[in-house]
This record gives sequence, structure tokens and C-alpha cells, in this order.
Amino acid sequence: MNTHQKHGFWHRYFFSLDHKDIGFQYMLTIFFMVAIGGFFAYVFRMHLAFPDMEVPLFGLVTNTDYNMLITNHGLIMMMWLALGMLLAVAGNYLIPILIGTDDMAFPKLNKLSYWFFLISVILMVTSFFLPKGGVRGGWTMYPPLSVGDFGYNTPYATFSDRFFSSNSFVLLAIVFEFTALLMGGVNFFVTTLNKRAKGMTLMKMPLVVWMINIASVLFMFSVGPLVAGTFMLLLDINVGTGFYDPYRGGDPLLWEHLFWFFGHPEVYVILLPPLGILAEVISVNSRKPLFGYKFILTMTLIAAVLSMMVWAHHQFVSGIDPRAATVFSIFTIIISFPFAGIILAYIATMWYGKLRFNLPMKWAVGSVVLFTLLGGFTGLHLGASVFDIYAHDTSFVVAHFHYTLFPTVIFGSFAGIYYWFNKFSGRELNKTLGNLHFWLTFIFFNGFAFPLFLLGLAGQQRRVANYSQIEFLMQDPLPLYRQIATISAVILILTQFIFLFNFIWSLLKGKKVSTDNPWEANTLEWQTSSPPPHGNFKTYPIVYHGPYEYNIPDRDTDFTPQNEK
Amino acid sequence: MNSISTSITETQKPPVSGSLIAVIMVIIVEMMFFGGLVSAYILAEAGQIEWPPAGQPRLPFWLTFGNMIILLLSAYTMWLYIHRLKKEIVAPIYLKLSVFLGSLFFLIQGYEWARILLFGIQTQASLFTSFFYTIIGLHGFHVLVGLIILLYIWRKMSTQKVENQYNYAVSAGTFWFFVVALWPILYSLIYLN
Repeated sequence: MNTHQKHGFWHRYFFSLDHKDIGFQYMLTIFFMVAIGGFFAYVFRMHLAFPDMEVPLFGLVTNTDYNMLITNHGLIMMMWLALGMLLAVAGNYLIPILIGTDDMAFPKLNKLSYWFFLISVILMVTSFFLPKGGVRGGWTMYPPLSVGDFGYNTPYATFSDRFFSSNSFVLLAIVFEFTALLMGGVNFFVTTLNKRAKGMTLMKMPLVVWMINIASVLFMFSVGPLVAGTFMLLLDINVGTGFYDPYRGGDPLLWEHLFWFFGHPEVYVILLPPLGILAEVISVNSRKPLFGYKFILTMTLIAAVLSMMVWAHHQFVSGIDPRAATVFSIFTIIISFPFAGIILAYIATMWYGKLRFNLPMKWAVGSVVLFTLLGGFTGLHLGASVFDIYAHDTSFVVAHFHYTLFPTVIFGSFAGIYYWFNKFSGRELNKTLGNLHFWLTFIFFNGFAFPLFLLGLAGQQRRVANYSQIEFLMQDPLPLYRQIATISAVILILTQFIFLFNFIWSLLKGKKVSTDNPWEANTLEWQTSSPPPHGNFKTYPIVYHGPYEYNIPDRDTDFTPQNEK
Repeated sequence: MNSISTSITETQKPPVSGSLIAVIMVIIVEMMFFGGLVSAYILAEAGQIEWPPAGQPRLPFWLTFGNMIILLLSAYTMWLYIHRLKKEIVAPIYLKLSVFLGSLFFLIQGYEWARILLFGIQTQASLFTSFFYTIIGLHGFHVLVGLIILLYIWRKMSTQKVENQYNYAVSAGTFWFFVVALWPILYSLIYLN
């Protein structure tokens, strides 16, 4: 097995083959993207609450600016933060070390996948600086809006005009990113199947490994049609085909189907890895075996299959057949059962456990509470087409969306980062700053997203650049709600700087860990040194136990490391 | 005691090689990719009264049919090659035949494409030609990638043990079989109208 070597900066951050380094590269790149997406959110929230006023650090927001900001906020957060953080970072860092092996099955492919990701980030960022500015067609890129400034039937636009437009660049960026994630996904799956430690049967794998793999496979099954659609859209922009041009027999609805056939499984691709992280964190901090390992797994597989059959619930107001809408409504409501089952299993894990409310556990419980009570529950409402047709174009959908994705993507990622930080840096995060970060995020996230429910029910349309022009939306108390939401969002964004400071400071100067297994966990990553050497383990571990055997009678300790006889 | 000393030789040998699993996963993605294209094509066809649209030359049915036979033959020789390797008989002539037949298919298809272009049928002409160039072009691209993979293992072969040769050939062959199997479907959809 490889020995630990010290590498220089370039080698570590650009050419490393070590899965941990590649995971870290992904994480830094994603932090950079999130900074952009967060800044955009700040600008357009300020503009919505205080229309026609200059936004500090940006200036006056025109309608064009607003469209650009909101489109790119959505794209960056969905495609680069959520998919990147939960497939690439979590998968790269966790899978080899949790199954007890030295590295990925194809380390070079892994490096290549990061480079493709980097190219996609560069293309995305370049798109802001192209002659006509960033994309402005909404993050779902519905044609004809996304065909660009030249649109269909404008023969005077030259090829270079069309190619060097933000639409082409963003579509290319998406293709590159998905290629990167596919390479990563292939790697995760092969590694999991072929490189497990001795004794690590499939049913002894930690749930997070299962979840990331199911998410990767789900991603592979769903991404093809979107890449095909993206390719056709690129041809429409650059070559002059008319796939989405109704004038020439094409169909704009085709894009919506291809997009949402990926888009809906995507939210489960995003949701499953955090659910896996929650399983680890909750079981460790409840000092109890996870309730229903196989049950959770079965429910996940059912949900993965069902998630391929619900996509058109995004299109209830896009002119699909009402009979089809009924079918998709029914599937959408059915898919909440498996997730309710998983959440109940987590609650049952905590039931009568010896709970430790440390930082990762706070994020995990916060995630379960918000995701269940407000995210999932309003999803049931929106799944029914009768309600969705009323609420679809209002802030209600925005609130629902943020209540599903923020608790899972952000809270889940933070649960993971706070949980595994000791392992991957060998140092500890500051607890006071961590607590401050958690409580401010929890409070001001609700302060931001909850008023949007009320605004949506009051009839506030989304995708409106300037509410001051719509009289009934300026009646009291709606502007007040918007201002509460905005001020909370701004504080929420500022709060993340506490985390950033804590992260960087602890990484460089934090207290060194006193033990390799601070949470007294069973899984294999805690049985090696912190940070683990290149190659992860001094010797290959042999696995004798399942991952969640806490509080087994007749033992000295209340935990049973997987590799202990 | 945290872990027990083991040497690297004691890790298990996987029942299915990693590269074959990877190729199967790639094929899943490709199937969904072409599934997206083909379903878009079928939907577009369903929305038209006359398909392909009136006033456009018909596609060369028989030439492409012969070409399909060539492609299928190249899959058969690839299968023979793998089958021989399994019995530890190295017969590179079959691999070379596969590469030759595959290249022939690619060239004939390219010739036909150029001829159709010279007739003045361009991508923008109609929805049908847009789909024709996109789907056939993408399949051609996959044939090219498959040929590059076959050439790569051709080069690799001389330096490898028979067992490794077999693993390489199975992984590359699986991708080639997929590319070949795709063609009759696309042919029947686009040429048989």
C-alpha cells in the first residue's frame, strides 16, 4: 500500500490521484460557485424587497439584470452546488474510506472527472462576461427563451455571434459537468462493487455508501434524455435546426419533458446522499442501531424507481393533457410514502436513544424537522394538480422548493462537514462559532422561506422582476413580508461567513484532534489516523460487524468498530 | 487492536472486472441518451401528416441495408475473437476484421452523408433532416469512438497476458456490440418510412 507522501501545492490541488484530495478540490471549487450564487441571491432579494433602489455592491437592478441573476442563481445552486456537493464531494471522500479500501477503482478517471468539472465551472463563469451577458431564460432553460438573444429565424446572426453567447456556454458547461459526474458515478459504483474490504458484505456497508450509489445510478438512468435535449438545443442555437421551434414543426414542450425527465429524478439524486449522511450522524449520536436498515434501503429503491415516473408534475400548467396530470399527481403523492418511511425510521432511531446534541446532530435533526414538516408536507399539496394549478406560478412553489432543498442540501452537507471535519483535517472546528452558525442559519432560513408561503398564498407570482408595478402586491402587509424574507436572507448569507471563517481558521490553526474516533463511531473511517494517509489504512481492515452496532450488551464500550473481532 | 495485518494479495478477486461494469454503466447512459433522441423523433413524426416531408429525396434504402449487414458482420467477428480468447486461443485476425468492417461501415455512411448533403438537404431544411443528421451523426460518432477503442486494444494486445487480453476484449467488445445493436433500431426508424 502507498506510503504517505508530502506533495507540493500544485501537485496536491491539481494533479493528485488521491480520492480525498480530489474530494477537497471539488469542495473548494464548489465553495467558489456558491459564493457567486449566494451573491446573486442577495442582489435580487434586495431588489424584490426594495424595488427601484440601488443595491449595495451591485447598483440599480434592471429587469434584464434580474432575469440574469435569478437564472444563474438557480443554475449554480442546482447543478454545481447540490449535485457537486452531494455526488462528487461526498462520494469521493466517503466511499473508498467507508468501505475500507485505499482508493477509487480508476483514480485517473477520477482526476479527469474533476478536470471536466473545472472546465464546466470556467465555462459557466465565462458566460457572465460574454457580449450579451449571462443567461436570462430561467434555470429550466425553456426554449424559445433559452435559444438566446437571436432566437429562431434571425439569419443575420453569424455563427460566432451564436456560439459566443451565454446560452451556448451554459449548455456546454452543463454537458461537461454531467460528463464529470458520470465518470465519478462509474467510479463510485465499480469501487463499491469490487473494492470492498474483506468481510464488508453489501449489507454491512454504511447506508451513506448505498445512498450515494443509488443516487449515482439514478443519475445515470435519468441524465441521458437531458443530455440529448441539451445537444438538440445547442444545435438549435448554433446550427439552425428547429427541434423546439413550433413554426417548423418542432415542439417546445419536448424540451420540458426531456428536462424534467432528468430534473425530477435529480432532486432525489440530491436528496439521497444527505439522507445517508443523516443515517450515519443520527445513529452515532443516538447510540442506537439504525432502525430498519433493510427497510430504509427498500424504501430508497422504491423511491428511486418511482422518481422516474413523476416528472410531469412540473408541467401541470404547461399545457399537458389533464388526464396525464392525474396520473402524475397520483405517482407524486405515492412517492411521499417511501420518504415518510425513511424519516420515521430516523425518528425511531432517536426514540429512547442516548441523544448527544453535538453539532452534526443539530444539523441532522434540523434537517429532518424542516424537510418533513414544511418541505415534504407542502410537496403533498403541490403534487395534487388541483392545488398546483393555482399555486404553481406563485412564491408558494419557491418556498416549497427551498424548504425541500435547503434542509437536505445545505443542512445535510453541514451535518456531513461538521461530522467528518475532524477526520479529514485532523483538527477540530470551533464549537462556539459552530453553534452560532447553526442557530442563525436555522432561524433566518425560516425567516427567509416561511414568508414566501404566505406571499404565495396571497397570490404573489414568481418570475416577476419588479413588484412595485403590480398594485395588489403592494398592499399591506405583502411588502413587509418581502422585506422580512429579504432581511432574513441577507443575514442567512452573512451567517455563512462565520462558517467560512471557522472552516479556514480551523483547517490551518484549529486544535489538533486528541483521538482518532471522537464520536465513538463504528464505521471504518474512524479506525484510521486523522487525517488518513494516502492509501487510507496502514493495513487493509477486515470487517466483522455491521455499521450500526451500538450498545451491544456484554461489551466494555457502547460501540463496536466494524473491524474489531 | 484496530486492524489485522493483511498483505495486498489477500484482497478478493472481483467476479466481474471493473472495466466491464464501467462499460455497462456507460451503455445504460447511452441507451437513455438515444432513448431521449428516439422518443423525440417518434413524437415529432407523430405530429406530422407526411413523414418524411414532401419534396425531399428519399434516403438510400438498399445501400444502407448492405451497410447494416457489414456492421453486423463486424460484431460477429468480434464475438468470434472473444470466444477464441476465452478458450485461450489468440486469433487477432478476427479483431482486425472487426476494425476493417467497422471502418468500412463508417466510410460508406460518410460517403452517403456527403452525397445527401450535395443533394442540398441541410440540417435546417426540415425537422426530419434535423433529426436525420443529429441521430445518424451521433451514431457515427459512437462508431468512431468504438473503432478507436478497438484500435487501442489491438495495440495493447501484444504486451498482455491472455487473461488480460480476454478482459480487455470483453469490455471493448461489449461497447462495440452496443454500437452495432443500436444501428438496426435507428435504421428501421429513420430509413424504413
